Amino acid sequence: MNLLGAYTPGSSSIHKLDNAVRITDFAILFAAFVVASGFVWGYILSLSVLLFVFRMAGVPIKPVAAMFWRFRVFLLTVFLMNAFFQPSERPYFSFWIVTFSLDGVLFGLRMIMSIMLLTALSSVLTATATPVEITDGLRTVLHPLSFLKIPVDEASSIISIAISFIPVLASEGESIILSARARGALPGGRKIKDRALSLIPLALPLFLSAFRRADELASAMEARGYTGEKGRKRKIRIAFGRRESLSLVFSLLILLGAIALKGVFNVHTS
Amino acid sequence: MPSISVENISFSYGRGDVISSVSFCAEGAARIALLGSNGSGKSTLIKLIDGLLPLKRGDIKVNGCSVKDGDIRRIREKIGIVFQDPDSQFVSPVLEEDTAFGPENYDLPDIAERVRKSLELTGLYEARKRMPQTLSGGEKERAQLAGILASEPEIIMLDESFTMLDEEGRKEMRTLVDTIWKDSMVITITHSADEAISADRVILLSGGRIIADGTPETVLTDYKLLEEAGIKAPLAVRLRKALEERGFKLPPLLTAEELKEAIWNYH
Repeated sequence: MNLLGAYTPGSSSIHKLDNAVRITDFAILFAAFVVASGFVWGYILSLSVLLFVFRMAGVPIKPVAAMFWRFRVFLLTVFLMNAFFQPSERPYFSFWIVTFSLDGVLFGLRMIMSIMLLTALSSVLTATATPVEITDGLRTVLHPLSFLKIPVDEASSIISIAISFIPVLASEGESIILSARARGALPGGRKIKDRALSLIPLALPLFLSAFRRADELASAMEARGYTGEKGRKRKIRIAFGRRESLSLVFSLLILLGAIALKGVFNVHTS
Repeated sequence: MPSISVENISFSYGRGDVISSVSFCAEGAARIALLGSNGSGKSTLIKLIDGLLPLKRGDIKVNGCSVKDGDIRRIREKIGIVFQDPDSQFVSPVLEEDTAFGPENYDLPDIAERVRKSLELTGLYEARKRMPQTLSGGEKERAQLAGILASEPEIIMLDESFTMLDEEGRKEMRTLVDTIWKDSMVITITHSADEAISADRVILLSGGRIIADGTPETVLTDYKLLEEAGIKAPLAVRLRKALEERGFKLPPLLTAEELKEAIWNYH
């Protein structure tokens, strides 16, 4: 699986959500998780919400756990860096820039807990929406920024085209490797340097092909009347139904709950 | 009625003319084949007609509007081009959105309806939510047609299109084009004389110049001209010639069906 979990086709309520609403929901939940980080009851709330969202989406948790296991060295490093380099007034021991303390350990735990919770939540988003749906959702959500002259539509078009070209370039890359092998080239080797050098003859034709395709695409786009996003009549569509309303209410309640919990426990995170 | 008027145009990419003193006119629901070998200037010519390349010498008028001083967007709206490689022409990861690309650019009304109709006519409505790159070869070509059909152009230019399909697939696509655009002008750009047979006019290009302009019967049976243009005569014409050299006298013909008929009726 990839870093944030591959798309898993399904018919759950989250899968069926409007793209823009789904992005908004997850943004609110991200905010709630950030607010709820740093204290036990906050983590309990985040974890409960996460399990609920996983269940609602019908997405298995096991692959996400496996992903964390694969990144255990990274997580451990984050923990140790915080445990040993976090300044504290009550250190167990301190030497040069190294300070080991309970505060550092707790801060390290909080950090990896936050990373894991936010990554797991992201993986539900990527598991329930294709990259295209995510781009579409982002374009709709960020559309108001275009009034501030931020090129949201251009950016979303570039992302969309880049996504469309991934399978084409992947298949072209495969063909280049096969044709190189057919002519006796054996990409790879034991040393990293050899591996890197062996990629040059493969990368060059791929780059050339990508440029050729970009040129052809530009002609095709112009031939179909494209003169920049400014002149385009693109509709921003939001399918807002009962499901979307409920999901937004749910996300907002979680955010309010996180804020309330933080207020009740008067938590100050450093 | 769609019309194109190319008036004594020349074009160069920097060193030497790739199009030299080219003139021709066409109007109505004509079926024209622009025939020429690689580098003969046929693709450059259609890019000039569509205003994709800047014209400096001569003039081109599409439906009476000059590409030099007209509203190029309005000219392009009347022209639909299908280029050779469909994979390089998709602009959106969703077929439906890709089909809507042209009408959105031209600010046309009823975009959803246009997209639906175009996808239905090309038999791709069921695949409307799919990623165009994941379609089969024939479906990709049909997706290209849907993309230009949605803007309802009056002049269709097929630049070596459908060459990635087998003979059966190409035949199917040509039938589809003829059905959809029976009242429009269709210009086929090709290097194959066999592809040019079905046109009712053949313009033969060589070295950026028009060296012949006439019916397929006159242009595609002229060995000398075809040789000058670096084009092989249609298969049936070559077979007829070979038979003629062996003493068989057959009537002038172009297609395999005509050859079969001629041999069948040979006395």
